[in-house]
Amino acid sequence: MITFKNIHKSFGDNEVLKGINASVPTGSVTVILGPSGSGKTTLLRSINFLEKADRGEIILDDLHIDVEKVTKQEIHEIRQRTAMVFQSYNLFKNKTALENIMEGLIVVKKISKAEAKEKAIIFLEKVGLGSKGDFYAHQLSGGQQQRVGIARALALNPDVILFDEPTSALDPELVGEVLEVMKKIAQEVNCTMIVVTHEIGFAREVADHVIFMDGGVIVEEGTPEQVLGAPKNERTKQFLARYVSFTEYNI
Amino acid sequence: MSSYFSVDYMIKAFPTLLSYIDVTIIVTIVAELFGIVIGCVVAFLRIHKVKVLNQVCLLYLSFIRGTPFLVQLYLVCFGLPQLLQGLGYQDIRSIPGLLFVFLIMSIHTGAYIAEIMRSSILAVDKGQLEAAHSIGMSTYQAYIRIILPQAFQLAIPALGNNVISTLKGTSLIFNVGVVDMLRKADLMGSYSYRHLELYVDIAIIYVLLCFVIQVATYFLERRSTLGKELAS
Repeated sequence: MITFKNIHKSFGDNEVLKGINASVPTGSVTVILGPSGSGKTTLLRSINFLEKADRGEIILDDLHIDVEKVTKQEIHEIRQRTAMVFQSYNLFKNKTALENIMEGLIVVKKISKAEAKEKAIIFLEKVGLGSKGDFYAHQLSGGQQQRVGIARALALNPDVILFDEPTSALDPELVGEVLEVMKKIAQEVNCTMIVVTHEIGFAREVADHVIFMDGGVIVEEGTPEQVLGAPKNERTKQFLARYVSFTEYNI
Repeated sequence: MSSYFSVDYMIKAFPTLLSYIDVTIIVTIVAELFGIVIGCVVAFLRIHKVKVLNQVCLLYLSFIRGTPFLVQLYLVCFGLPQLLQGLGYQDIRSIPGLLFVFLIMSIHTGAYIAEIMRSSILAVDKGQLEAAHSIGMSTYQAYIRIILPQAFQLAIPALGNNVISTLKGTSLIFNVGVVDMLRKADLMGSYSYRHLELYVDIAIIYVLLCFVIQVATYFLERRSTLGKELAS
């Protein structure tokens, strides 16, 4: 269970998060939707302190962090228990795909090199890239890079995986392969997933819980059926209208 | 012709001068190794704006870059021993003079490498550090394993430049009593009165050394994975 209590964050005069309260049950898939600039990514990044919120509390099971009084140890611990998949993949450029996955296992989990390699190969196969282990990031396509990014996160066996717009930088053809892998993880791996995305279809199909944010607050949340099927809030309806019309065009 | 320029003498003297090349090479290697360590630490302190130390680094950089190398050489090789003596350390003669040369060359090179490394660390994508943090690495681990290896690849051309200028900078150390190639040429010239031939020899040796460094830099750059990425 991961809980946010009254999270606030400003960049200068611009208040990006205006008191977020939410909780995500263990093992669930939670999708955060919302227009650009609504604070979704900032909220996600404040969990592992890539962005330090100004005040509020973040609670991950027994780890209770008051953001204002956070210590280095606490940041280190929450980072060890979470993993992140980035919009721009952020694979380590000086390492091969396999080494990218091994890195965290060796350095953070202190597993021996041979064992880490075995484990890395298993995860690389899990995302369908068993044959690409010795390739560097620049030799892989965007979709492949992102799948390695997902394998890197998975291999650490984190309590929570944070997905920061994992498909936004991909062309439509490659989006599918990444979403496929994410679906597979949601079904097979019992770890909490928090996904910031614009893929409404993915939310509808995979999410247990949908949060809709706008202007730094949570406007509406609930099951996909509630939020996407029968939105109550005007702003949510307005946002979803465009996506609904898309599907109508396709028909 | 031979009265103006003796090719025979030039060829004859070449091996003797070449045998002093070790001083030049050792001083360059020591200065570069310590310079890189100093440079990386200073670059880190500057980028992360570490309190107090950042200001100390700024002072260090502006002093080294704001004074001629010869002045720094005199300060450390002549001034520092005097200071130590004044402070009551009488055994100053037991410290080999080359040690002071190593010291100032490293400090001098470190300042220039600090700026090279700072720019190349800043050129490494910010997402790399974030990714390292996100999987639970400490900033130190991230620097050692991810950031610096990439920064070094980006810095290869500039570092190659720095090695060349350090190498040529060693030609000044004869001023503090170290006998290097150039000093040897001076000494030989005062017997033979054939300075021109000797200095031509010296120039040839320096050109060859710098050529080797240029070739090495070129191959390092070609081999680096980031280089391949930029080329592709």
